Amino acid sequence: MPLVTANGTRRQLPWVLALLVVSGILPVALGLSEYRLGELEYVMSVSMVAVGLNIVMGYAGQLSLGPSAIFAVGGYTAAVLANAHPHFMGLPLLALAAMLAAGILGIVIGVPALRVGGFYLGMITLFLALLVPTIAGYLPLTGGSSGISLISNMGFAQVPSGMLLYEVTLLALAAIILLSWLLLYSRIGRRFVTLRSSEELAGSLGISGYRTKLLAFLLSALPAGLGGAFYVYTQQFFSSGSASTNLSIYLLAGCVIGGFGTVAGPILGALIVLGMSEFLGSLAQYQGIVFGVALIVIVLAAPEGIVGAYLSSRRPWPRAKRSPRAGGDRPRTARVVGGATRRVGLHLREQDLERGQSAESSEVDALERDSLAERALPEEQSSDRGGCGVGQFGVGAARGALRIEALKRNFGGVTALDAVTLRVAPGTVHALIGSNGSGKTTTLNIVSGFYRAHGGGVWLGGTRIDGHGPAFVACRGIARTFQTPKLLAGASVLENLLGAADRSISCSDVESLLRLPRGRRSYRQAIERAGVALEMAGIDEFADEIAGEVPHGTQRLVEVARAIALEPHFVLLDEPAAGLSPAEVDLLNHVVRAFAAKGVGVLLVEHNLPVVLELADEVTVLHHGAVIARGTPAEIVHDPQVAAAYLGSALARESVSDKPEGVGIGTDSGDSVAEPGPGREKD
Amino acid sequence: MRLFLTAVVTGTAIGCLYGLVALGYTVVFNATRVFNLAQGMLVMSGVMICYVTLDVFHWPQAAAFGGAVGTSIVLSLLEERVVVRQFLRREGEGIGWFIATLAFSLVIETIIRNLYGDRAPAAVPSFLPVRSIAVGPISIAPRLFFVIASTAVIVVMLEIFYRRTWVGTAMRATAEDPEAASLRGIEPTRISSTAFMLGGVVAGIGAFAIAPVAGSNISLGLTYSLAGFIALAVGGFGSLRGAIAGGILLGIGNQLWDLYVDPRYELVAGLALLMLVLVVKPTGILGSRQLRRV
Repeated sequence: MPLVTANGTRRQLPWVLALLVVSGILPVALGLSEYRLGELEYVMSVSMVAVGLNIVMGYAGQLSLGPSAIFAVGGYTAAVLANAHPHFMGLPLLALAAMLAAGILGIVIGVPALRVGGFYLGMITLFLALLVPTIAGYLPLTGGSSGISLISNMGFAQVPSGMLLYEVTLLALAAIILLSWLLLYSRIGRRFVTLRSSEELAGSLGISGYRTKLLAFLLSALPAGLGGAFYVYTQQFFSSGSASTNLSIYLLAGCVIGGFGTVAGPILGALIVLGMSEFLGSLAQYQGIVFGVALIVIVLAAPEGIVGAYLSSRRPWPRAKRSPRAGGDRPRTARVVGGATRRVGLHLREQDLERGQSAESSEVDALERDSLAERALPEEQSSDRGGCGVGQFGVGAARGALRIEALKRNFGGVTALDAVTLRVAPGTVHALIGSNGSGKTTTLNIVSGFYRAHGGGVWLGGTRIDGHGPAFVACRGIARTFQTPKLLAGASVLENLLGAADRSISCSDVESLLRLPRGRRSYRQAIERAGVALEMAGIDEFADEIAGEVPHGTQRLVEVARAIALEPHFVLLDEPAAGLSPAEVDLLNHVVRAFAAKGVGVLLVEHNLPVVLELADEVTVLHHGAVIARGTPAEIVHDPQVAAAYLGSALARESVSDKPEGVGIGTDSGDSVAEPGPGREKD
Repeated sequence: MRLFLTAVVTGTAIGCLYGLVALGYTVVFNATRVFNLAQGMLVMSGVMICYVTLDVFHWPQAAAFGGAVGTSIVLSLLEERVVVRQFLRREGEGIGWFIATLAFSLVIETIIRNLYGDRAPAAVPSFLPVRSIAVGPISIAPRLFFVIASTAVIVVMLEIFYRRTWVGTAMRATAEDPEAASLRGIEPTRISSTAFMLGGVVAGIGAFAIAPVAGSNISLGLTYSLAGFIALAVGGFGSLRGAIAGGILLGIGNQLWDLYVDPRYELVAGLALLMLVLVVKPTGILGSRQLRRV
């Protein structure tokens, strides 16, 4: 069973391995002097920091400019301990102590990341990169501006030394690279990548932004601390100059040039940056210009970096032709997903799909936009601590109905929801319809934990679930889809489902990281489950396609398939039929019915009336945030109030008598049909 | 008490400069959603121009003023043109622009460092009398007042610009809703270059005012950038007055820390202030707007 399958990695690894082997042999063959070995050891120590930076920034997408601060803490810890107890502290103990100290600082840095993100986090970490060496340059403990030198310490001796020390350092670096690679393709890595792609998406899959970010900062700090220990041990010296602010900036430059999010990128980048510093010699004073210009050029011309560009330029698999979908009743081949496993693994090239398509989602009116912005408020974010642990997805969730009671919500002075009450029973489809701005999506966002209610609440069985953040809701077995697909655009369709499939398969992170038997088994299960979900959504033939490149309708079905892969008790579908072709709508109908047949309760927010009429057991109609009608589809269709709210009264008369098949409602706001028709007087 | 008051006044003056850096961030950010990390470097380059014109060439103060403002405008526009504008055109923002502005400030810093060479930081003369003015129990150097006065003037001018002029209104519209503004025929690139020009003006005037206080010190560029960011975080995003208020708070906090704790660890005061704000009121003192997902 080819578990290690990602082509991206396969094509990076030979290079990395070759580099490591050559680095292992060449110095022995050439008989390099201790001085030269020391230089190489320096490069390798700092490369470890780059690998760590790649974990937090490349994998998890958290802008961090503070790797030099973490490196400094690791280095100073090692230096102080080695200086105080030269006989006692061997390399393993130093490494352990440095990693411990670095890990603590990593978590401390991670805490602000819980409240802020983006450049804000970047600036805070940059501030730390300035602060730590400055402070250390004054503190007596850290030797002040001259730093700590172990050379003068008679008791200190490198126990592995010379060539052996060099090989040990190389082995440590190799181990870190290996672990960083395993990490990327483990379920931890999938959580990181999901978080990086979209925090909302992560929340909707029950991935707690809180824990995931802290873990990313912790895991990125450990290699940096180890790098600090090796630096001290090999150079026998540490000062504030060893970890200047510029080290952070150069490492960032290296990772950008090499390619963030790839395994080989940071190593290549660190080699380029550090190697150039050595090469430039007397021109070293100009290296800031060289790196700065290189950075600008790379960011503009090849944002994926060298390795990223190499990987995407030579994608080995042929672009499959996308034939228009034949229809819902095409023969379903029970394809074993073995084919799909060929290149499972996340290719980190997603652009922000959501943003790229924002023009298409004309549905997002001003009201929604305000609240979207509001969601970024730190207060709302920080409540999202309710992620579920391993294999806890939906476990122990009360199997009662999903009840929304007297829900209220204002945006500024606007009342978006006023006492909305509805109930979704397991195994039924409850449709929520209404014109734009009537509060459908707001309701859905409160139920799924993205907004807070200003009154009323949401209950699942006997448990109140609103106000705890999206991950809390998701972990109780409630899945949702997004109006605008939130996909990892650079990953395959199947890979997009893995993060979801992971959630309900029990396996510890360590087992997954180290590919222990249970980790491998759960990975196979996840792939299988993802394959089944794709099949159920009728898009299994797209499994190997890059998600960002499949047609829009298919992307929307991928959203639905991802919800299936979560194996939820309830599913909230946010206008799943919008933009689907008739054939795809058939597929969707299929899926929703299958959900209901399995006992899953479905809350369907939808504009497409035929879809609603076809699927819904019960329909609730919202208008200006209030429920104006409720009943079976047949009752709703003949409700004059509903028709008036939607179509204007003039049309309403017709629609009451006619079958409204094919009338897509809601594309216009009800208010815009202000024509005073003859029926107006009725109001 | 005298020491305390002196610290407060000095802190206010230096804090005004941090506020001006934050103001530069705000003007650019509102118009372009770009956080221009090089803002502090622009101030530093202006200060260095003052040093060269006054200390090296002994030209009149007006030349220093013109040189500082001109240089920071040119650098700022260059940055907009070469680095930032490419990202404005791109759908789907990443962190690319942040890295690019960081790279730009690295380039500026390296160039200036090489031009300046190994010289020690030197004092830059002020056009105001050196003799301190007695105010109540304390005496204050006029150059500190000049920093405060310039800041006040800049804030007032900017508010007038935003409210009274067509371009200012267009910039506010863009800040509200870039898409809607561009649909109304407001050209984003024009708004963006205007914003960067304004950022340059603010940095240049700030540089001229602070040069006699700070002297020629290259490493202050990054410090200004970071202090301006803290001012912004403390004061609140998007608000002009918030930026200045945050700057003054940071300036006073730093001076009091220097007085009562230890000037060598001054950065800790900034960190403490930043953490406090993050915990208590993440939107900043005067900020109502959220930190957008940037």
